[in-house]
Amino acid sequence: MTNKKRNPDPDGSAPESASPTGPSLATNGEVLERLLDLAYDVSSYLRHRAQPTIRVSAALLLAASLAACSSSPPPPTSPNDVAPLSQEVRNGLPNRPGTYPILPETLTRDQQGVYHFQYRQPGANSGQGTPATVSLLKLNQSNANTLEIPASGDPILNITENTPIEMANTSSGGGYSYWRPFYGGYYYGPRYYDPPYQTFPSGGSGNSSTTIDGSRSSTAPPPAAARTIGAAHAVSGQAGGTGAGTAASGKAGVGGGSSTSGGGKSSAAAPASSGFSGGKGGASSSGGGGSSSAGSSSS
Amino acid sequence: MSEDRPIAERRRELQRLIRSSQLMDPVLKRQWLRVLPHLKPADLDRLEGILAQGAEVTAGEPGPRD
Repeated sequence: MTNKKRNPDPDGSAPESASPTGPSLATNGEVLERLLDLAYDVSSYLRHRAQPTIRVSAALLLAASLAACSSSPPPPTSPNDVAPLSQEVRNGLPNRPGTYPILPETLTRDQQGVYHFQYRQPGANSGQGTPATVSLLKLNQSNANTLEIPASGDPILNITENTPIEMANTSSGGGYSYWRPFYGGYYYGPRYYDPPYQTFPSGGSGNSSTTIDGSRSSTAPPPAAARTIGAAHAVSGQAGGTGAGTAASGKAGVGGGSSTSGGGKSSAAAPASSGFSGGKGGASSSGGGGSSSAGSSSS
Repeated sequence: MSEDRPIAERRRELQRLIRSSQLMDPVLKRQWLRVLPHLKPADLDRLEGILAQGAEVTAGEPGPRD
């Protein structure tokens, strides 16, 4: 970075205009980088001085400048390019408390973490169903796929262990991505569940698919930015913890939320065809027929 | 630019700017103060410019780094 910008004329023989005094600076980091540039230039001529103290001072100046730049916080980045929800979504849900069968094949979750599905009226076994979208939705493992509307609080989606949730628009390769939050035993009761990673591996092309198993979960809804899922735009990911457990988490801003992860280690979703590894059991495969990985990362 | 001002005066002013800088941590300040007497005039200009702009950047931010 900065060492490429060293003053090509440290002796000062060039015209004064060669001295970079740019326009207004945006961040402390940029100013510190300019200080580092100057430190490079200063040390380049002070290190030739006869007095050892000056040479040492020049070296220490360089070291301190490098350290200052290293400790300067990097600009915030997100693991994907998905904009978080600015407002929670809740449309089409039943008005009355009760349990409503859903059409599992209609169940999708979009990049902003909004669930889309269709449900039927209680007792109805046929029909197209009523579409609903909701962003604050608890998931619960059950032996039937139903939507539960409690008298108060967020709705609960009961799904079976093997029910996949299609991750809409998370694949950049034209394939499909699926998420099975409870597959492999990642079940902690009705909670807010999210995929273990915020970056999905690039789905395969053609008819290939990717399935992610496992989840992050919390008793309080995570912030909208933590619910986004997208294809990785860089080799970055979210490190995960190991082992099951419960950790205090105030991240949702709703007091007392606890966060649990099922174990496993998440790894970066590398671009294109690289594997997506990690997770409990370490299952990872990729290929023409699809890939599957299991894992969970704590947040 | 600042060529009319005596070098000694400029160095004193820079000393003051470095000491009051919210951008630098104490270690960095100390090293800049040590090399300050040996800087070339052109680098004094650069340092002045950087510190002035650093002061602008940190003006709206709460609390010094050190």
